[in-house]
Amino acid sequence: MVFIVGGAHQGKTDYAREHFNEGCKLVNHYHLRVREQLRAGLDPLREAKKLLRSMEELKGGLVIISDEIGYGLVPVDVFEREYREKSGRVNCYLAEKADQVIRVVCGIGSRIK
Amino acid sequence: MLYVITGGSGSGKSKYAEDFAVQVRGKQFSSGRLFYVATLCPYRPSGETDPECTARIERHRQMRRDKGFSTVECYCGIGRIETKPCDVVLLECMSNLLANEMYQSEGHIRSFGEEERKQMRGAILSPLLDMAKRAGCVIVVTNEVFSDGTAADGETARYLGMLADINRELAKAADGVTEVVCGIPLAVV
Repeated sequence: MVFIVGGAHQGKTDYAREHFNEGCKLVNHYHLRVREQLRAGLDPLREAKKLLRSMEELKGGLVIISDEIGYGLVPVDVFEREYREKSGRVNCYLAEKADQVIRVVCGIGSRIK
Repeated sequence: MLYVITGGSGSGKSKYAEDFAVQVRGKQFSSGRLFYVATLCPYRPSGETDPECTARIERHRQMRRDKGFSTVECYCGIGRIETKPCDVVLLECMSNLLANEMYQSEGHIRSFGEEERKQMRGAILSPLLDMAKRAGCVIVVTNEVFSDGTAADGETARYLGMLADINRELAKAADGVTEVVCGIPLAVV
């Protein structure tokens, strides 16, 4: 699995399209899924584990893209605080399980794992 | 020695910092003690406990359990922490310490303008840099909170400016600065 992370609008999707072939399964905007899961009262870490398990048999590779959202001040809103924290933890988990981690900043991807 | 470890929220910087502290001690300072300076205060100004902070503190306690740390709770006035030449000190974290010094009743940063920077130096930077010279190794965890994208109001901007000053000063004096991204350490310097 390849995990691509970076701030919003940094060129993560373009990077994925340029560097990974069309046979790859692309799961984009993973942070939004985390948000929906929290809204639905689910545990995002468990959901991430489930996703990876369900993709184990996948042929052609898997690319997951997520925003990095923890670079601001602690949000005043409780839900936003939880979302920010949990999405960070999920990103740590996906990075740990990934064979490759790419961080995209200003359109430039750096392989950090 | 002085090391600065930074990262966003939920980036895994605390776990990395703990493991780094244990490793530094094991390799270079096995005769010294391993201190964990905890700065997150579980109390609200009213005196009640804050359940979110308490849960956070508990998560960190669980995470560092069995790693050999002696915990020193210190919300303000880190200058009173005494160290010996082979001690390894992990300070978790700068963003809380600064907020405590600015907003808690026993905090030392009370003025504005020129004076507040002097008070910040006296309460935070000078004692930390001193400690880094006297102890074996000081590891400071700080926070990247500067890419919010929204304009900060006066008081928030004041806090951010001061935290950024501390981060830059520490980084200048540090033997290493590491940014942790999704649990992966990236060397800044």
